[in-house]
Amino acid sequence: MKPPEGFLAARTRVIAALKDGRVQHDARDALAEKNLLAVGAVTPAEVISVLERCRGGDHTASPHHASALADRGVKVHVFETAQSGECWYIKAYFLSAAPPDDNAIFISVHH
Amino acid sequence: MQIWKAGDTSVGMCEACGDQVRTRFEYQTVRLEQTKVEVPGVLVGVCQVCGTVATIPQQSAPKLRAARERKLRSVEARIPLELEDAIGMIAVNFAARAEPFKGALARYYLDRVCHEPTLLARAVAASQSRLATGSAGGRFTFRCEQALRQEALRVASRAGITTWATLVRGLLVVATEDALHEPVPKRLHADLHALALAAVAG
Repeated sequence: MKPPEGFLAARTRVIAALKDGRVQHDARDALAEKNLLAVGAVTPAEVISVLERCRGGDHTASPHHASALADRGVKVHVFETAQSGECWYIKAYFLSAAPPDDNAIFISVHH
Repeated sequence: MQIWKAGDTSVGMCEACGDQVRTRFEYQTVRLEQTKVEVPGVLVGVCQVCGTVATIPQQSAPKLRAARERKLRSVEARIPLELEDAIGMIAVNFAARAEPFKGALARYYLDRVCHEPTLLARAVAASQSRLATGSAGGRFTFRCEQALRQEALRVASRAGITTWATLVRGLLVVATEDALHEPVPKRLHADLHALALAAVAG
């Protein structure tokens, strides 16, 4: 069954993955600059805290930039929010809803 | 907490293939582009189609963090070449290897300036001295804990030193005043001798 794409469902799913440690990161350019979670500059707990304070208006979902994944219905979730004077940008997606591949894959985590 | 082992498989997005692929976890050396740090022994998810690194699991974050921190502790200040020469002379006087000794010397004075108001006052005056000012053609690079750098800068800013380079120049001039003028105070001589020994060992 295809998972729902709404704000609450997406946030819950990403937070659950962070809590379980089911987290991977895209091996992207500028990893140390664009994905602070991947390089340990922020912790999963910090990202969870930011996500928990997000509101519906802070979330968007769009097809993955790779057309092959977009064709399969893979959505990229973006949480963009200003908290405590910092603007956070969190971007993640899931390739599978079924274990053991139901990992959150982060593209960006920075502020 | 999910802990993957080398040889485990998963799925990921391979940029080279432009598609979802099966990945296999392997330990490899990862290069962090911005800092140009190469980190060996990092678990990565390798594309089973083309062999490109597709993903990095969260369990690799502590290793990448430690590597970044090691790199970030390398700090630099532009100083006059004459001041660089003077620091080199201190190293020679104490029979120390110049490169590790100059870093140890800088850290020693940075630590002291956090606690000694009289040293801070001397650094303020020294930062305006002839040896500290003028063309800053030298690069004084050394490793320094971020916390020490921040605390020294915080203390120095209260005395009117607002830049890292000014603080380092002032302290290095103080070091030359202390170490290149006989007699070197007994306790300072012992401290610098210990720094020199550690620098030789390092």
